[in-house]
Amino acid sequence: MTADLVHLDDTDLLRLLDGACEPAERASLGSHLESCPVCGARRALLERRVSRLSVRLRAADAPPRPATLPMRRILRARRRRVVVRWGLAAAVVLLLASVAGVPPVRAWIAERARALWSFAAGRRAAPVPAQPKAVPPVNDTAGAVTFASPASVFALRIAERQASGTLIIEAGERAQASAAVTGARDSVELLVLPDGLRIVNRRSSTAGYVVRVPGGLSRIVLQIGAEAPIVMVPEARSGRWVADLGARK
Amino acid sequence: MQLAELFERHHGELYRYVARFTGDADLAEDVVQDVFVRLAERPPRDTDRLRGWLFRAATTIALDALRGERRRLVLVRGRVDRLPMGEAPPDPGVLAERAETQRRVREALGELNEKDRAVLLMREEGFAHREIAEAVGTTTKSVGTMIARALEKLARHLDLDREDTP
Repeated sequence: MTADLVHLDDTDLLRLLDGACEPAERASLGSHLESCPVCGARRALLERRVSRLSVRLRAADAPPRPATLPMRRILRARRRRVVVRWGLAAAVVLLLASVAGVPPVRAWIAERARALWSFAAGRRAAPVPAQPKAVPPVNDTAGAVTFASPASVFALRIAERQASGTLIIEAGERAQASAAVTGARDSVELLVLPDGLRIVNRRSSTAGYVVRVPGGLSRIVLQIGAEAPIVMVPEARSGRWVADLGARK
Repeated sequence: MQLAELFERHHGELYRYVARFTGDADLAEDVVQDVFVRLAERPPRDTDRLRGWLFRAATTIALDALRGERRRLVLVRGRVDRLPMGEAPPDPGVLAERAETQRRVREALGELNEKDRAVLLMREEGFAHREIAEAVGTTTKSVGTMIARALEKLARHLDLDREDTP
């Protein structure tokens, strides 16, 4: 849109012709057209062009052809669509099933299911035990440490095998985990980590270790150096495992 | 609405639009069929704007086809379109005149860029600027500009401003 002394451009005139202007704009353009013969002539020219173009296009049109709906292709496309949908659904189910197989997810699902069951039974769901917060690494200075245990999987890592020594793991009715060094404590550190405990020992060490964890863990994973991890699954709420840390010959 | 009913209602205008847009009646027939296969396969959520959806799909499919078959199009340019079966062959002079008109119009439309061509031809099919803007992904005001630009070019190529032009 332009001021009265300036002529309207073709865009404005076409929008006016095609009824594409807002009412206020239409009024303003119309008022200009009434008083401007130049723009009026231009509008007439555009109208003529539009009309003549339609005639030319129709004259050049290909004759209409009888046509039928391509039913065979449509049915094939619909079948393909169904197959793709079922394929996607199957993929989602497989993905969910495989994710649900991962122990932490399984535990979480079981926990939610129990809460839901309680709710459905009209009882107030038991409060979900709070996850232990990540504990910043703590250096042991007195050969013993007590700390909050992870809820489900306890990871116990030992830096390497040593000259001799024994590791005892005890699971029992306790709220917190603890670890203690027995025998020669020199050059051994107990490092508390969010997922468990790391024992930083040396090859020359002869110390022994007692690690106590709460009952009810789903797994205790022991890793010595770069060896394959040993997974212990407590069958009851208590248990005891002994491992020889002496270097293998 | 059933697919067959939609086909019955929109096939003619889609065929005309695509034939004008591509300059190839055979290709237009294929494109229109592809549009309805796509409609059966992935129908739009907003069925209130189905007509715009059909034309937008037709434009997209036609452009893909044109890009893939540009060479073939060059080979068939200037050909007289097939007549419907059962129709008596027209006078050779009429045929030649129609062929010449088609050639000129196709050449003139071919001078426009694809977007301007689509906008101009959708306007010819009675779409409002707002609907065209939605279909080609631009603003309503830009549609006016595109139509004005296309019209200016076609006026030169087709002598639309000549006093004796019908």
